[in-house]
Amino acid sequence: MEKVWDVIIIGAGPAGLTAGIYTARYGHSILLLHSGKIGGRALEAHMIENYPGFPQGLPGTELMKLFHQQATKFGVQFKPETVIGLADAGDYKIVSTRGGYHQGKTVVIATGMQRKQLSVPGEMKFKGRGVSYCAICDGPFFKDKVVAVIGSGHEAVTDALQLTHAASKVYIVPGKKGFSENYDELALLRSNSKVEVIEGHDIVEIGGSEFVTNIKLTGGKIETIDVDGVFILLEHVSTSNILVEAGVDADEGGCIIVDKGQHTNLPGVYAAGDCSCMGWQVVAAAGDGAKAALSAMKYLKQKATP
Amino acid sequence: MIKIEYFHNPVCPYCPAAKRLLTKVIEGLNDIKLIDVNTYTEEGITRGTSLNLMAVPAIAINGVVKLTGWPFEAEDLLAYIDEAREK
Repeated sequence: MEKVWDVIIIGAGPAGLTAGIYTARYGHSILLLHSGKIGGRALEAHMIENYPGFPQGLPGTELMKLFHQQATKFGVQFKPETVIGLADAGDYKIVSTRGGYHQGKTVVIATGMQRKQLSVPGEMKFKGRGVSYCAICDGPFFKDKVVAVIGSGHEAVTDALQLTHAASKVYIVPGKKGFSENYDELALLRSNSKVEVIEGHDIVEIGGSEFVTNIKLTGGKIETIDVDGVFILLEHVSTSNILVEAGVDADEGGCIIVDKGQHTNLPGVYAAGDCSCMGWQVVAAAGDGAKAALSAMKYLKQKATP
Repeated sequence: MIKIEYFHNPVCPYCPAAKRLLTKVIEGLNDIKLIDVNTYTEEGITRGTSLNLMAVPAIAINGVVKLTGWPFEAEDLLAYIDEAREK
């Protein structure tokens, strides 16, 4: 008989790691499946200054390293396997991966979100040759160069500001709908002499030969702007399609629907963090993970009671 | 000897996964010299820009950038190593 884990956690961001810490600490057997990147979207945060307990702030990579260490200390077993399916077999759930399958009495879905692609001509052609999806990773390559940031969310705004430390000029193109919210940092952005906000336009093409040399915009008329780099920082979309196909209820935006205890519509299956579109903060995701863990342990206890 | 330069930096979320795959692929290969290049250092960014590098993680083989970004496949990396051996 294959091992049946008490809890299978899908995803290694703040929510998944916290669920692992809570459940493993109580002695449950925990398998955490991840795609190779432990820490999730929080890894992309240059500095996290609002996570309680760290008054000086710390990079997302450092905070997630601590989460990982803590989960490992309590005995969470990590496997880098991509999940391709979920099925309910009655007393346990079957999680299929590219490497095989695993059985769990409960499942915590913490798959996070993935970055949305722009899907314009040139995006794929120039990926790594001027097109980037990570400002903190690749910003230093654009010292004294001209870059464009495509995005309307908080990450686009803060990363555009971050890029001014390296680039000589930063265009930000939020799209025809404008910025998603009136972020506090927008005033800083607009007053920065290196920044030009191009509103009322959408990007239609990324051009160049070997490397990016320009972007084409449309806003009634096509306009070309010469740039050396394009940072695509669009807001994220849910990655839970496989799970939705398995019968987990989600809303129109792909966000998994949960109640206050992080229960999904499937008994013994919970969701936490960005995949349920709640909070969007490390501390909120960690809180969701803790609540999902407590609900899963309550479920395990009920099942074990004759 | 084949020189593999692995470009990364400490804030890159994709770099550890790339390094794990790279390490696995070259494990047991005796004709590889692996050099870690941190692009958050002056020396590292200078080396990267000299190769027209614009993103991490990246892998250069014998001074030519072959793979940029994550994910990449082990088969592709092995093919580039074989190509370098044949030259």
